[in-house]
Amino acid sequence: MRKVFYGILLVAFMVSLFGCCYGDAKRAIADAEAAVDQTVAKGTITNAPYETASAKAYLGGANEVVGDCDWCKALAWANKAKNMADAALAAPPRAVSPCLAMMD
Amino acid sequence: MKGKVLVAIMAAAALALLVGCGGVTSGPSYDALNAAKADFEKATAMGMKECTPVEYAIAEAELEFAEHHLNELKIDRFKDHLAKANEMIGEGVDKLKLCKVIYFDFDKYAIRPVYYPVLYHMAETMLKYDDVNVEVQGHTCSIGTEKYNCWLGQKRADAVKDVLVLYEVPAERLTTVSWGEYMPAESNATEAGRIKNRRVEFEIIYK
Repeated sequence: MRKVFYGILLVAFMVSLFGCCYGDAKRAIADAEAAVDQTVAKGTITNAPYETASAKAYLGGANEVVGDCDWCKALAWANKAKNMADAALAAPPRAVSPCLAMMD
Repeated sequence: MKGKVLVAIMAAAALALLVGCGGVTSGPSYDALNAAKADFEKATAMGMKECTPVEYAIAEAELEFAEHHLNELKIDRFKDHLAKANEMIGEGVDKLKLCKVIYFDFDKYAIRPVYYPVLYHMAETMLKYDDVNVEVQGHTCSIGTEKYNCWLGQKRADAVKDVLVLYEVPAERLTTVSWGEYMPAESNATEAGRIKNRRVEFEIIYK
C-alpha cells in the first residue's frame, strides 16, 4: 500500500516537473524548426534580417535547454523562434526605388 | 526521533537552497553580465539594431541565454553565451562604420575630400567582414526634375562605389541604387533640409 502511495507521489512529481511542458516543447521545437527552414529557403535574411537571425538564435537556445530537460524554457524559446520566423516570412520584400522604372 | 531529525535536515536543506539560490544576484559573473548588458544598451543607442540587425538579434538572444544559465548556475555555459554576446556586440559596433552618410554639394556628385577617410574605414571594415555586402543608395534634394534627380542619385552612388573599389573592396560586394528625391531624410521646404537630402546612405545586405 505504502509502495503504491510513493509510486503515485513520484508520478505526480514527475508530471508536475516535466509534464506541463514536455510534449508542448517537442511540438514547438518541431514547428519552429520547420519555420526557420522556410526562412532559409525563402532568403528572408535580406528583407527581415532581425527576425530571421532572432528566430535561428532562439531555436538554438531551445534545442540547447532540451538537453537539460528544461522543457518549459525550451517551450518558451521555441515559441519565440516560431513567432520570429513567422514575422520574417510575413515581412514585405525590400522596397524598390521608383527610379528603376524611370531610368529604363 | 529519527523522523524528526530527518525532517529537520530536509527543512534545513530546503532553507539553504532557497536562501542560496535567491541570494545569487551579485558577484563577478553578474558584474560581467551587467557590463555586457550596458554595452548592449550603448550599442542600441548608437543605432546597432537599425544598422546591424543580425548582430543585434544574436546579441539580444545570447544575453538572455547567458542570464538563464547563470541563474541555473551552469557557469561554463553562461560564460560561452556571454562571450558570444560580447563578440556580437563588438562586431555590431564595428560594423556601424558601414552605416555612415556621405553628403554632397548641390547638383554635384564629386566626393568631398573630408569623406575619403570615412570611406577608407568603411572599406577596411568590409574587408574585415566578408559575411556582408553593402547597398550604396544615392539621394538628392527635390530641386530639378524627378528624372534628373534619379540620374544624379545614381551618379552619387556610383562615385562612392568607385572610391570603395579603389580601396580594394570587390565590386561584386557593392550594389548601387538611386532613390532620387523619393526618400528625403528631411523636409525639402528649407535649405537646411535640402542639404541633408543630398546624400549617399548605405545598407548592409546579409548573405
